[in-house]
This record gives sequence, structure tokens and C-alpha cells, in this order.
Amino acid sequence: MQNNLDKTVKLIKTASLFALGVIFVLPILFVFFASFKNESQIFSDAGFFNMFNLFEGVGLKNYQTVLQTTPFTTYLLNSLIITSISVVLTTLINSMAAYALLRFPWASKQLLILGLLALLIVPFEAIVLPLVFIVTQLPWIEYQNESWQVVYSWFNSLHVQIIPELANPFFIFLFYQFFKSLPKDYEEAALLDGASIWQIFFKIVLPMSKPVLAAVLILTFLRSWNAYLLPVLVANAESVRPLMPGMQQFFHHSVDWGAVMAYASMITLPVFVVFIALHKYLISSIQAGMKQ
Amino acid sequence: MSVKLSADQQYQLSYTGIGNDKRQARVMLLPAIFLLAIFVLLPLLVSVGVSFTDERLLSPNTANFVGLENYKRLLSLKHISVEARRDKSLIFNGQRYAKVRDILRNNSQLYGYSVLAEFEFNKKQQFLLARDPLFIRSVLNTFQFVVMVVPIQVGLALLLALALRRNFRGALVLKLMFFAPVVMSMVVVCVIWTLMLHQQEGLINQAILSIWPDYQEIDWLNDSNWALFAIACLSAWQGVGVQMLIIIAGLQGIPKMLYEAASIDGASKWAQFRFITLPGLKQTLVFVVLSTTIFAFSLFVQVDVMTQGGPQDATSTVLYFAIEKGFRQQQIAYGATVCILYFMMILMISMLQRKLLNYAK
Repeated sequence: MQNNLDKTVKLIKTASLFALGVIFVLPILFVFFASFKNESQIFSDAGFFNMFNLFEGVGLKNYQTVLQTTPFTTYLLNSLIITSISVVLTTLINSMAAYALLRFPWASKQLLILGLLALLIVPFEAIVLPLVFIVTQLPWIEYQNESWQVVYSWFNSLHVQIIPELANPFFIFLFYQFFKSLPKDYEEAALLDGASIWQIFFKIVLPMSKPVLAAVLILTFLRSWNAYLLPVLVANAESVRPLMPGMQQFFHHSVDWGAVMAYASMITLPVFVVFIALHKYLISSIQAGMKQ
Repeated sequence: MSVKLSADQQYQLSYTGIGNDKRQARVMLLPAIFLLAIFVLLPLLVSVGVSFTDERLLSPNTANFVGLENYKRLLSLKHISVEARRDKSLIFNGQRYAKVRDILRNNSQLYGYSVLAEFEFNKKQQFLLARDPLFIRSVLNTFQFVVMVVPIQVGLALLLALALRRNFRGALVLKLMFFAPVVMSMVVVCVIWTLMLHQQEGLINQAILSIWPDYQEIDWLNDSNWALFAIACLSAWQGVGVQMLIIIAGLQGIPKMLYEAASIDGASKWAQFRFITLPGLKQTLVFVVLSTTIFAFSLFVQVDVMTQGGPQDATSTVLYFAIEKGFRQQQIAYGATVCILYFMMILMISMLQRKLLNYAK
């Protein structure tokens, strides 16, 4: 009897939590459902149950509008390039640094670690203005008019949206902590057998580090894909603009809520796919972040 | 420190006496160090240097050294009080006081100041003056935002964490639901909420109306009393999943034994929360509150997408002000000075965090 009552109470608790959860994600569901409606339907359906009514929707018309009236495919391509290069290079550069820092004797090791800890506190927002100032004066080699030329500005390019954020003290510490937990016996055995440290790093260490690699991968993916502040400041040209500033532009100039919701749906869907696939690593990396 | 260093040696590889390996390791280490130096350390140094000049973005003119002028312009505050005019014949159009504009114009010491706030006190008209009232306003707005968002976000996170601390069936799905907004772009979140906060037909006002029919619809984002609060709510909604996960991890660190012992002793649920959960969570909560505070200080995207600092500057924040001045109005030296002040604020909170965390241990 008591047991049955306990079970019922538990069931009610879980059910009410799920109800709360549904209300919580309602804004997200709202976007996806609204993207199949025209504007007057969105407004007239602004109720809990009507929201999910798709019977009088306009199908994919809003999506067509976005593709026809905005350079969505250009933005998408830019975001894909920026995000994929960022993910690969960020993972590589920070894991290499952490490994070298941990496994080798450096004369100023403690100083390096203290320096990294100090940089960890610097918020990106605090340095973004001088960063803009600096990237207007950096040199880059470009292929123009059938020859290679040196250009003295990184403004309005894709690389300016990638390179400044590659090295990251937090990721270095994340890798550093993880590598600490790896047994060094394999590496020392390989070293004795004459393997180079590159072989050891890529063939022994990285394959053992899948959890931390996945965590850094998803954190970098989210950061690059959702990037807003830096591109707004340094990539004004349409040809190099990524998705999020594109969304803001479209939102400010469009009066068609249905199309805006279609744009929002298209740029949010990939995020949820990656999130669902890698949620395990994302959760553990956030909880590891606290222990830093 | 030295203890830590010797502990670190146990993680180093033996047999790397050969110079070649270390040369290779240097190649591994250098890209990160190089990039951090150019894109984090250098900007930090540049912004300190530039803050003493009148440098402008993309300007052909060379900058001049102006000393502490930028800092003075940002932080100068003055207070004056104006007596009511005694001579009734001078009262013109019901104006009992001299016009503050005339006072500012006639007093060379008050050159460059304008009115930040005015109120009546002690039968005199009191004026708070600032050289850049919008900056002071932005600082106050930012603090106001922090005071609103931190309790909402941390309180909600604590409740969710307490509900989801045990791994019952469905707990993971629920965690993912509450975490979902975190992975979304803030720009998208702002766009959704702009639609949901629409005065007549937004979901929020419709929902309130259905519960409370007499409710006068608030035009959330265009009402200077409510805009910042609306932004605080959507920010808390977007970010609460992170704090929830961290608190859950903290809760799982509290030994189960304590609860078992307490329930054998007949302690109520509230007593268990008050005397086991809260003390056990102290360190986690200090961390969560202060890191949420730091994050809240960086409020920018929501303002940029939704309100552009309006209505009547009610949502202008420190960072929004810095980007407006430093980038859009090209006064990079002035903007960089704001960023330095912002960084010092963050630094103080971080140091407080370290102190409190050590204390909580």
C-alpha cells in the first residue's frame, strides 16, 4: 500500500516536471512550428494549443522566401568554412600545447602555467576592441590579379574570424587535466622503440582522449557557429558574413515573421543535431569546467 | 608553488634527454603561445596604451597623448544644488529655479558636464552631473541587470537541480530539455523572444491575459521600466541549464550517508535541505553565483539585437556603450578605456571568487 502511494507520488512528480520542461522548450518548438505559417497565422495562433496547428500552414514557402531574398547560401558556406576549420585547428593547437606542457621539462614551466591561468580570466569582450584595431594592421598574403600580394589588413575576411580565437587557455587546461590521467607507460615504451613524439601524440595519446576531444569539439562548434560579436566588428562585407550576423540583418530589415522563423529554424537545427549526438561530452565538460 | 612543480615532474616523460624530442615539443607548444600572445596579451597591452591617447579607428591622423583624460571623462561626477528663487517676480512660467543649462554655461568649472539626474531635497533642487551621463547610466543599468538576472537564474537552476539530482527514468531527457536553450545562438533566442514579447499578440501577454483578464498588456521591450527585466528573463531562460548542471554535480558530491543518518534521526525535508544540502553546496553556489555575475556583466548581444540601448537608454550596458563609442563612432581609445574599466571589474569579482572559494573550503 505504502509502496503504491510512493509510486504514484513519484509518477506525479515526474509528470509535472515534464510539463514544466515542455513549457520551458515551448519557445523553441514555437520557432519550428511558426516557420510553416504565414504572419497572420502566427499571430492568430498565439495560444498554447493553436501553436501546434499546422493544418492551414503554408508549407515550405517561408524557406523559399529566405533562400530567394537573402544570401543565405553564402552565409551558410561562410559559417561552415569558419566552423570546420576552427574546430579542427582549435582542437589540434590546444591539445598539442597541453601535451608538450605536461610531458616535457620546461625551464619556465610554472611561469607558463601561471600566465595561462592569468589569461583565463581575460574575457573576450574586454579585448575585442583593441583586437579590431590590431587586425586592421596585420599582414596577409592574398591571391589577387593573378599574383600573390601582401595585404595589410585582415578586415572583411574569413581568416579574421578564425585565427584570433584558436588558442584558448580554458581548452589547454581541459586537455592538460585529461592528459594527466593518462598512464605514460605506453608513451615511454614507444619512445624507447624509437617513435617520434608526433607519432606518440597522434597514434597513442589522441586515440585515448576521445572524451576531452569531443568536449572541445562541441564547445568550439557552438562558439564558432553562434559567433556574433567578432564578425559584427570585423566582417561587414556580405561575402564573408556568417549566419548569425546575417540573421540579425535579416531580422532588422524583414517584416515577414514567417520567413524570420524559417531562417531561425535552419540555423538552429544543425546545433541540435550536434547537441543530441554529443550531449554526454558536453555535460561532462561543463561539470569539469567548474573544477578548474 | 614549488610543491606543485615537483608534483608535475611525475607527469613528465623520462628518456627525453635527446635534444631533438624537446625541439619537436617546442614546435607543439609554440603555436598556442604565439597566438595567445598576439590575440590576447597584445590587445590587452594595446588597450592600456591606447587609453591614454585620442586614437581613432581607421583614421589617418596620428594619435595624441592625452593622459588620463579618457578616464576622467568617463568617471567625473559632480553634485550641485540650486536654491529656489526667493524673488517671486522672477518666477516665470512656473519655473521656480534657475535653468540648470544657464548655470552650467556660466560656471567654467562645470564645463563639459551635463545632467545625470535631478531631484528635490532639503527644499533645494539637487543635480547630479556627469561628463558622460550615458556611461554612468550604462554602468547602473548593468548593475541593475546583474541584480535581476543572478537571483532568477541561480534560483531557478537550484530548483531544477534539486528536482533532477537523482537519476530516475526520464531525468536525462529532462536535463537535455532544460539545457537546450544554452546551445542556441543568442541572436536566435532574441528573435524568438522579440516575437513572444510582442505587445498585442505575443505569447507572453496572451498567456498572462488568459490567467488574469484585467491585465493591461505591457509593451515589454518598448517600456523603459520593463525592457531590462524582459532581457533578464530571457537571459536566465537561455543560460539556466549550465548552472543547473554544475549544481547537480555539486549535489552529487554530498555523501548520501548524511541524508540517511538525518532521516533516521527524524529530520524533516526542510531541515535536511537547510543543514545538509545548503552547507554541502556552499562552494558550488559561490562559484555559480560569481560566474553568473561575471557573465551577466558582459551583456551585449541581447541589447544589440533587441533594443539598441533603448528605450530612453534604459538598456544601454557597459559593453554596448563600449562598442557603440569604440567601434560605431570610431573613438577606439575611448571605447578601449571602457573595456579596461570593465576588465578591472571582472578582475575584482574573480579575485573575490578565489577568496570566497578558499574560505568556503
